[in-house]
Amino acid sequence: MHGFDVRVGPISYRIGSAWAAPIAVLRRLYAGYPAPADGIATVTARIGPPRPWRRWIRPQVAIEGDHNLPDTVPMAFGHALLAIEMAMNMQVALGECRHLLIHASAVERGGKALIMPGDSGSGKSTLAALLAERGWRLLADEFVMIDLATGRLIPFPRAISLKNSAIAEAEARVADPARFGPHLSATPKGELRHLRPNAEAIARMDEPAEPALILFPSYGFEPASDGVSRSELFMRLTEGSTNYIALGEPAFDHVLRIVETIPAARFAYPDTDSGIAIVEQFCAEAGL
Amino acid sequence: MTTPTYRTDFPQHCRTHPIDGMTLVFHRPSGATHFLDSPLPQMLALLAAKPMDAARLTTSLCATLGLPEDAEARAVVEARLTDLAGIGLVEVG
Amino acid sequence: MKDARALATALADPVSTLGLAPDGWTSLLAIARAERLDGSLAYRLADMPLPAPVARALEDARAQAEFGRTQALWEVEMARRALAPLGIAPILLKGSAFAFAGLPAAIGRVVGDLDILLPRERLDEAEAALLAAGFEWAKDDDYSQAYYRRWMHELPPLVHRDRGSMIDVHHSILPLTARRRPDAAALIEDSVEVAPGLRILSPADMIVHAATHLFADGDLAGGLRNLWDVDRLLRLFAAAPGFWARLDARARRHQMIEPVALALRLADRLFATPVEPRLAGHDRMRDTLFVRRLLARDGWGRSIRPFNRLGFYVRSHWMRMPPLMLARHLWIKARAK
Repeated sequence: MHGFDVRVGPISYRIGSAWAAPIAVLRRLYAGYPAPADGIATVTARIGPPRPWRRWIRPQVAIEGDHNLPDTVPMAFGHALLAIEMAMNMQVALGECRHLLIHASAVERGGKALIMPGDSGSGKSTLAALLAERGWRLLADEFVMIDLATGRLIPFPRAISLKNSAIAEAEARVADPARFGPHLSATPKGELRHLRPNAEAIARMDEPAEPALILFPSYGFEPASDGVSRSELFMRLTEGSTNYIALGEPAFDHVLRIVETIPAARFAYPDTDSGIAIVEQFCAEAGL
Repeated sequence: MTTPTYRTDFPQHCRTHPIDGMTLVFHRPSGATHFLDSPLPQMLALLAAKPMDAARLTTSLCATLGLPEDAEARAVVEARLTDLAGIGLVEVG
Repeated sequence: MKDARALATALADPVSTLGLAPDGWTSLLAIARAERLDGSLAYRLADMPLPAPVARALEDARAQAEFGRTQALWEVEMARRALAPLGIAPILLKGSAFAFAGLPAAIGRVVGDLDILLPRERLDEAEAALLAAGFEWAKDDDYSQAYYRRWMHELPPLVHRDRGSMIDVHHSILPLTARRRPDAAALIEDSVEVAPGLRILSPADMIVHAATHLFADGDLAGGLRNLWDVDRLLRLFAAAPGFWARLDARARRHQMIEPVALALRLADRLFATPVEPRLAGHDRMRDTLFVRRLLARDGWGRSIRPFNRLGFYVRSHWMRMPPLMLARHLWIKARAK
């Protein structure tokens, strides 16, 4: 077993792989991230052959770890990096119970956080990635973590997964090629390339932010925007959370507080530049 | 078979919060969150005051909401009682 | 870590964790989660001086266990409500019973599906009531339905359409195909009321049931957890005068004397559980194989020794089914894939 320990915000991972190569790629992608506190990784994510012979013969990669889903489909060996990322996500989605998880990306400016929930294809990752190249700090790409003790947003700046057209957009705007992972083509999620957040996002990963604005993006439509009712906001935040139910009453309280105090809206945008312009306008109005 | 009586200990063991004209409920024993729209909160309030069967509840509810008591009202009350028993906010018997 | 021994030792003797190195902790946590004993471990180590990251991880495990307990108790309550109008008081089994009765075995324990035991003649009524209460068949094909009804000791598993929870309704504690025939009527007769409309097995029968579970469950998956139940239960029950004699009598009554003896020996080996030596009997050569299988995890939480595991899998099917039935069963399962 080949291993690599890394800390991303509050999660200290031990990552294991039956093959050496994926770990080497992962080390490069997570260059500059800290090691686990006290040297103790508390969450194991791993990839391995789904059957022993699959390690050598037409290798396949199964997604595993401390917490497992029974019906994850093994992936092609060429997509091992994606499999590791999914194994890391799975541990958080199924195991996290210190922070409320919201399925969203998030960026920060002046201590205030913009949260962008959305399904795959909404453009939430792309917008967060590009805002983080123009004066915002990246907090999260996939899982927003709300501290149940303070209500603040705890950064979890994992590598960002860029998909399809977002890859070229990021490549055009990020000068340092070393921040990109390898091109992964024809994955179950389409074309894929990972982007390491910039040095500031990594250096300040232990600095929380105050949730201040929630925007639901939808990519691929003419510009439009609309309010989101309190009840709908409650529904959307909780149905996109893998641990809302497990966290019980404190989670209810926190979602309620967010819903009652933080402005929320949805907007549609046809391309990234107009998306960023709309976000900036919303933020100016909300005082971010 | 005797007519079933319905009872509830709502809003005990619950956190409630009004939202967009509905009642948002966190129910501690099940850990579930429910959105209750009218007439569910009113039905629960009446049952909390006194356990009763569907017929009596229909009468009380129609009086509370100022609605005519007819077969449709009775059907709605029975269907919603089944829903409430299903999520455990109301108990039969 | 080369196997799950460190986990067994940590559970039995928390002080043994004092010397763990950082990677030892990482492995211990991974193994405990794989065996679904992380909640139990978290409570056992609650008063130990722990490195901060471990303390946080175990605090989280306790929170998860507490959530599991709430859910389990709610499932019990909903089953009670569904069955009470029929005058059926279900006998809670395993985790739900421990949780409801507040037994030490429940502390930190995950509770999976709700398992209940009913008199066989009330099964049809209970089934109808549970279906009316929103449960649906998890396996709806004709073969599974017929197979369960003809040969198993339980109804085909039911899943609630809204809550997603599963209930297993048993009328005995071993399949009808098993060579051993526990006395289901005696289990029911000796059961104890723990609340209006809810019952649990008598202490001695609870041990007998834990022993069946340890050996009826095919590849012994989850075996360490079941044995930890045995340890926790015995430490409580053994204090009662006459307990060992009762356990002996009940084990004989249910044709389970050897499995119970094996469970006692294994608990003693792994957790230093105080057991009655005459009932436990002498160590057998086979015991070592069982211990190896129960501890078959590497430091990454992966199962190891696949050949040994396969051996137990086939063994368990033979134990439960006559050979021709086994062939038929495996053939239909294989075609279903």
